[in-house]
Amino acid sequence: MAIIIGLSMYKYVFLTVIFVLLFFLSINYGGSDLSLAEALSNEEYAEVFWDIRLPRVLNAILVGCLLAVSGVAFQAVFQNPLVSPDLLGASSGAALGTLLLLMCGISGLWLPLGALAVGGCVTLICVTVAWLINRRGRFNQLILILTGILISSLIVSFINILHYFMPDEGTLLGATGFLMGTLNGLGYRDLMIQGVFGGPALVLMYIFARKLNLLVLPSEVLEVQGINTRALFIFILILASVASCSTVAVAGIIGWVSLIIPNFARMWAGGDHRTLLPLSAIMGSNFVLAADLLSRTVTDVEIPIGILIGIIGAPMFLVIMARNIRWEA
Amino acid sequence: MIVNVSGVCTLNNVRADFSLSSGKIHVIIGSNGSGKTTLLKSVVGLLPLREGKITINEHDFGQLGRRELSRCFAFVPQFFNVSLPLPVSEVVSMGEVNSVNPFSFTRDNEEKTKRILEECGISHLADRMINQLSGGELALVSLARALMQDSDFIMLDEVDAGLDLKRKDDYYGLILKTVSQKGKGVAVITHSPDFIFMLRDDDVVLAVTPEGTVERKYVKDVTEAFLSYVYGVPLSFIKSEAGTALAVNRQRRDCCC
Repeated sequence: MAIIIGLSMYKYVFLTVIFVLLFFLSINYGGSDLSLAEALSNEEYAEVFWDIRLPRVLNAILVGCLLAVSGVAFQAVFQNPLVSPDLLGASSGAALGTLLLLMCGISGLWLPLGALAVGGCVTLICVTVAWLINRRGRFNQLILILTGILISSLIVSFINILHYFMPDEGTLLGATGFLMGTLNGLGYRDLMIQGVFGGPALVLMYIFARKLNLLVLPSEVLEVQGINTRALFIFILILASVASCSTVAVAGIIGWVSLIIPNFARMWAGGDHRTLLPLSAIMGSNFVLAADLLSRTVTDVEIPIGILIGIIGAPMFLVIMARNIRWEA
Repeated sequence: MIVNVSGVCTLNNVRADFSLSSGKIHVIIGSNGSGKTTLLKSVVGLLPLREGKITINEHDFGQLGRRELSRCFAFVPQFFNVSLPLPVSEVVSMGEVNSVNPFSFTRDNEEKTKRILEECGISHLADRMINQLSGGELALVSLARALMQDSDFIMLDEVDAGLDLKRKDDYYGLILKTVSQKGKGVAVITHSPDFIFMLRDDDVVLAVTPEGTVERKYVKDVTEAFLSYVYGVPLSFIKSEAGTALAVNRQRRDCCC
């Protein structure tokens, strides 16, 4: 353990320096042309800073961290580097749950619970359907992934129906922003929601990092070795779903982060989850912080971060795919 | 330790009645699709049995807990497929994990991993990523991992299929060493009957016959006629100073066997 951390120490240092840099840039620049020095010298401005900009930046950090880590876990569980929480309908299910609650006029702490409930149910349905299709009772990766894709597209259709029948324009605008993924207007309450649900998942995942390493190996070898692979599989899947659903509940669907960041971290630091998890957590935070900074400062009108990340993410994913294929040849 | 396979019928209807014992090599042979892999997986509990039961030192296999189970068998699959990168040393050291307790890793593990990598002659691979190894390297790594488990038996599923002559020889040498030095029992599925000639006289050949039964013979009792029957093609032993080998006898091709 000590040796592993020792070898990759410079990577942590490097990422932390970038993190600190991005953090200060993020709290210094924003939509309201207010620098840190100005904000702290004037009481009225200070309020804007403490109540709007700082919580937003803190939320961005947690969103990136949770998304990246849940991506790492999903990829380990499905032994496939091209998998993400969006795959098994966790994200779209969570979005559906949040939208339903928003339409009913419910908000606050109920939102993440609703997101978790629906996201969790959809994941459970996916796993169960795949298990039923595959009569042997063993988890077949391909069937599971295909089932996930089909059920997520079904959920997206439901979301579109809800979208179409939105009662009034205010809710419609809110819902549209939510579905595109945005960090605009997030406060300390959202931070708490993410922390309460995502925090424990994050810590548990790190404690179980070595178990994630196990999941990468062929399951029949592990079964003979006395390891209950199915229990481990479900446990890690639940942790990862909790992490990703709690971000969806506050920030909407922000794609790509959970797919791209784990892959970059893996290329850079190898696949041992004891280093991969913390490294991708920092990289995820850095990525979302940078994207958020861009989305606030590049244009006069703020671009929703989900769209911005989509524009950056797709080409990045192509690079990953090209690299992976060259490695296998 | 003795494993008794009594009155067993596997999923693809192979009937088996034999025993495995520690300190011996059991070579499982048979033609393609005869059910060797299913048999092996049924014995280690990966596949259910149609009939019969398996006992380990008189204890019913089905009654054993996971921890006890991991002391009995280590399984090496034909293809050790890993699609994500993981350092070889980590893969091997995880062979020892047999509980879901996350705090159960100690320091000894690192030294033991090093020792086993050395024994298998793959210390130089320790920091390589598992998904970038060649077939021969992967075979040795998966065997090293099985050794790490400290089980009484190691069950190898046709791992030698893709190896070249030198790698194959290294691999067989490692198996022989494991049995003679550590007193473990080994069951090997192989399509290279030549391996039989490297064994001692009291090692065992388990042949899955075309009739769907399993015949148990000592190595010293294996004859040309027996192998010909198992593979459904006339075979002859070729003896020289360098050792014995097996070849298809083209002159007797036309006659039935």
